[in-house]
Amino acid sequence: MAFIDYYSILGLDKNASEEDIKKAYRKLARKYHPDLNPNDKEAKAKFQQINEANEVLSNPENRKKYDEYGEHWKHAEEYEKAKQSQQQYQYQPGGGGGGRWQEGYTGDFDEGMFSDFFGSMFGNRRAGRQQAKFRGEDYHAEVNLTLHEAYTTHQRTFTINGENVRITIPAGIANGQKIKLKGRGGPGINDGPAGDLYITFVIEDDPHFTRVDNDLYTTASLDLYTAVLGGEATVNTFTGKVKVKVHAGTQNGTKMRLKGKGFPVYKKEGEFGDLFVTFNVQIPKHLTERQKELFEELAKLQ
Amino acid sequence: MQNELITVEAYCTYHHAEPEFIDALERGGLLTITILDNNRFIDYDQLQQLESYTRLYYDMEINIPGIDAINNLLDKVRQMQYEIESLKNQLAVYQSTSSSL
Repeated sequence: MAFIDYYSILGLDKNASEEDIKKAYRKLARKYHPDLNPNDKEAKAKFQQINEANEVLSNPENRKKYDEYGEHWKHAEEYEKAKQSQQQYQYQPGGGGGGRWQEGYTGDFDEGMFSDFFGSMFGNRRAGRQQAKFRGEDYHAEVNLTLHEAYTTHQRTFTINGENVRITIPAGIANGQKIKLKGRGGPGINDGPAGDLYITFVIEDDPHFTRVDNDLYTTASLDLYTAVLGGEATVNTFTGKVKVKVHAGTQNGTKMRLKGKGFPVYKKEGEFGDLFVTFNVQIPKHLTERQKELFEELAKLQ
Repeated sequence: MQNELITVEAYCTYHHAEPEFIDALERGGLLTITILDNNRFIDYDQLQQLESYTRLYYDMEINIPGIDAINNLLDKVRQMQYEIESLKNQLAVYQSTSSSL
């Protein structure tokens, strides 16, 4: 719960007028507002600070409280009590702000978009634009899958707001792909529709296979003799081992394409991408005397 | 489908928006208004977009042509983000292939 300098966040000094605050907020909102920065977590975090600073400084009462206690906000309550006991016979004018509604961000906020500092000093109620929303908030969730899980159609159950939601994840889902579950977000306000739930799938890297769209890439070791003379090699595909024919004189780094051995195509049952195998020719390191003699003989023949 | 529509009037009341703002969005091709029995409605599917336009207009003082331009640029940003993601995936193949050789 560190002290947050709301003035410096808005690039203002303590003498800034209401108009200066409004201008600074708008200028920064045009740069960092989540509506203008899709999928940008940094901008969202930055805007959180800007919005919070605006919430406090654009409300005269809150600004006064902030100016008065500033860094010593932790002791605000004690000061307040002491003050009240001195002023208890004085008339306290009620209310403030003259009914003018506050401008502030009212979009897709996560819960907890306000810092602990804000919560401690001003309570968790934020002013915001009155009745600013109809549609419930969209929820965003991230689901991690292994490459193997993404390979097959399977079901997953999530708990969202205490309610179990079961979804089917079709085989071939892409890394970063989003699924929208209509009406599974926050409840609507004033009879508005509920928001949506967006699930983003993050597919973890696999140690043996790399996926590009529907194709898979892997490497396979090839012994020197098969590479030179040709023959058969065993290759690991995503679903098991297969034997492939290798031509005589296969070079290190040669790529082979195995048609239909790649990743399933999203929502197209029975269709698969290809598997590309790069051969890594193994040069023998520890030769017996006999092997060494034979290699020397070969060398002489060149 | 009556239950998936909201009247322009109700939207404007709750959002403190002027009906002229909605009209301007419609004229600018940014919003489609449905008319039923002489009442003007907004489709629920457009609400998310409309609420974003409302924030841009009222909270950030961006006018309608500006919103239109932003809309086009955001489409490009999203497309580019998608391309970057797919290029990153492709690059990973070359990185893993070269490190294993």
